[in-house]
Amino acid sequence: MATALLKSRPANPDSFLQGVGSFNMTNVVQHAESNAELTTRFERDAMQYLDQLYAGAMRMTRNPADAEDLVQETYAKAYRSFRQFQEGTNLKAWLFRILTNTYINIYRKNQRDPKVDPTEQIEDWQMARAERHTSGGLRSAETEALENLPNTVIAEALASIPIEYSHAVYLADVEGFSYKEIAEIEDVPTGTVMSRLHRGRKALRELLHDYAIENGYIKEVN
Amino acid sequence: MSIDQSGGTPCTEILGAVYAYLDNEPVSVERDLIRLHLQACPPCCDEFDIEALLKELVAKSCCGEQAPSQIRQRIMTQITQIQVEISKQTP
Repeated sequence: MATALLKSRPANPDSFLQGVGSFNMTNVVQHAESNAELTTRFERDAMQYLDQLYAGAMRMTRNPADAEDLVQETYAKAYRSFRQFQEGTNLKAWLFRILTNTYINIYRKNQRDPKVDPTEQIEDWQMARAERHTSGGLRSAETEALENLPNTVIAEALASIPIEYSHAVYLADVEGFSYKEIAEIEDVPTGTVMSRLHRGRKALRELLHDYAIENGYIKEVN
Repeated sequence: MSIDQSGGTPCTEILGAVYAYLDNEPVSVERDLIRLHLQACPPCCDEFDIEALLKELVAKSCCGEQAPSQIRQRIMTQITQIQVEISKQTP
């Protein structure tokens, strides 16, 4: 995967914290917090995101055993650097960043790189969209069909598009992160986040449209 | 549909702003202009509807997943071990 996503990652799995600077990591400990206090604060503040991190891990690993391991490893890493995490910054985004990095470092190292066109631009989907727009057609039928699709079909479709795209869509639509937060989590520029969202949503929509036609939710009219 | 129907903003520009608009991000076209355009242009309005619906469907299809109950205990046990390790390093 000659993607920016992977290229931007440190090669050493343990060195991922180098990239956490944008979350206002600081070496200044304002008061001497005991380890027990630290653990209590961690349990109170960080553990509340367990379900969300697990759901995110399930999306990435697609099986419960790997998702559990990934979440456990994420929390272990987070705890080790929690003393340097500054309260008041976005803890949820920080945890998702560690989750994302850990996933890439542990699970994706030896996997095939996805093909991502380095020239991907926002303009091309805008052009495509404008073309579809002028061709007119079945928009309302599409809305109706989408509303009737089972949740499982949508989850399957999301799982079948390249993870760079589906992860961005997941972070935006399920977790409600802003573009800037997703950029921090994925360690890419905001423009790349927008491009991934565009591509992911376009792919998702096309998959669902095809599914709807094939399964009689929508009738193709020419 | 590339002809402007509501005060100067072409459909391509409106459609180019759909995601930023729906995601509550800064939009290149003023939000009021977009709303005005959508009222006057059913095809653009349909596009926005579909994209908004897709966002909703994605959120709905992924929500409600809960971590298995034993994970929490596993994590806290591991964290206690790490705490002990750290305590040994920095007495």
